[in-house]
Amino acid sequence: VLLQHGLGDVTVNGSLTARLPHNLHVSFAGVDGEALMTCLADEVAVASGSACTSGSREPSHVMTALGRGAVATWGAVRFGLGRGTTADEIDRAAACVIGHVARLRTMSPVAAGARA
Amino acid sequence: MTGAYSDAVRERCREPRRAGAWPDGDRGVATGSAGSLEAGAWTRLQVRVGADGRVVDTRFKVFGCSAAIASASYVADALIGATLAEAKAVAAGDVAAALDLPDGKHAMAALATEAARAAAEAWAAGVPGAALAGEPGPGIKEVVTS
Repeated sequence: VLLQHGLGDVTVNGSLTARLPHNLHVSFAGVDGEALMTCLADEVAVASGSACTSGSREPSHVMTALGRGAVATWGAVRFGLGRGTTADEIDRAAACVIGHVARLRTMSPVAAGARA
Repeated sequence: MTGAYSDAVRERCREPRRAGAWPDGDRGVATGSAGSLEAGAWTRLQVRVGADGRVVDTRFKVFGCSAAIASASYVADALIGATLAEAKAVAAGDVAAALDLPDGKHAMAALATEAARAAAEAWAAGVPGAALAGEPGPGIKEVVTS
């Protein structure tokens, strides 16, 4: 909710109810998940399923099965909560993510409202 | 992947220089792009050419991984002061070496240099000398490479 309110164009991948409670897999439209992971590296530990090793990487077959387009697939990032994670840490992580995603989107060719 | 990146890549990813775009039709600006969103990496470079026939400013847009962002930012910096021939000659290997890109990421440096070459081709083909000297002209032209 913090991310959607602060950014817009944020999609939770998978069911909102039938999922592990500590896992959040989201797509930030117009942003590459691996690039976001690099920006966050000193502050928030996340995982990206879109690491590429060449100029022609393949979209995640799971994301494709969920009906998500290629651009949404590249923008996917996974957050996990640990036993000791606090609400304050989640708030700080959300603020950090919002700042980096907003800046990365200024470079993105994917226009607001046209993101998928 | 993040851990394999150099400080130069991380710095340009977090604080990219020359990010942005000039509007279509801006006089004295040539644009080139390479890659595709569907393939997961796309870069566009714009060069503003001065009356002396050299690049006076640049902007880039990019969609892609950290290496793609860093490469686009690096090439946008490297093009400042370049002649047409120099803009065409920016080498992907030099970009990859300067950023210390991992071996598997050299394609992202090539993407940025392809965009630079495309911008140079647009410059050669469509940015008239009259416009560069301050006279009205068609200004922007874009060359797209696959």
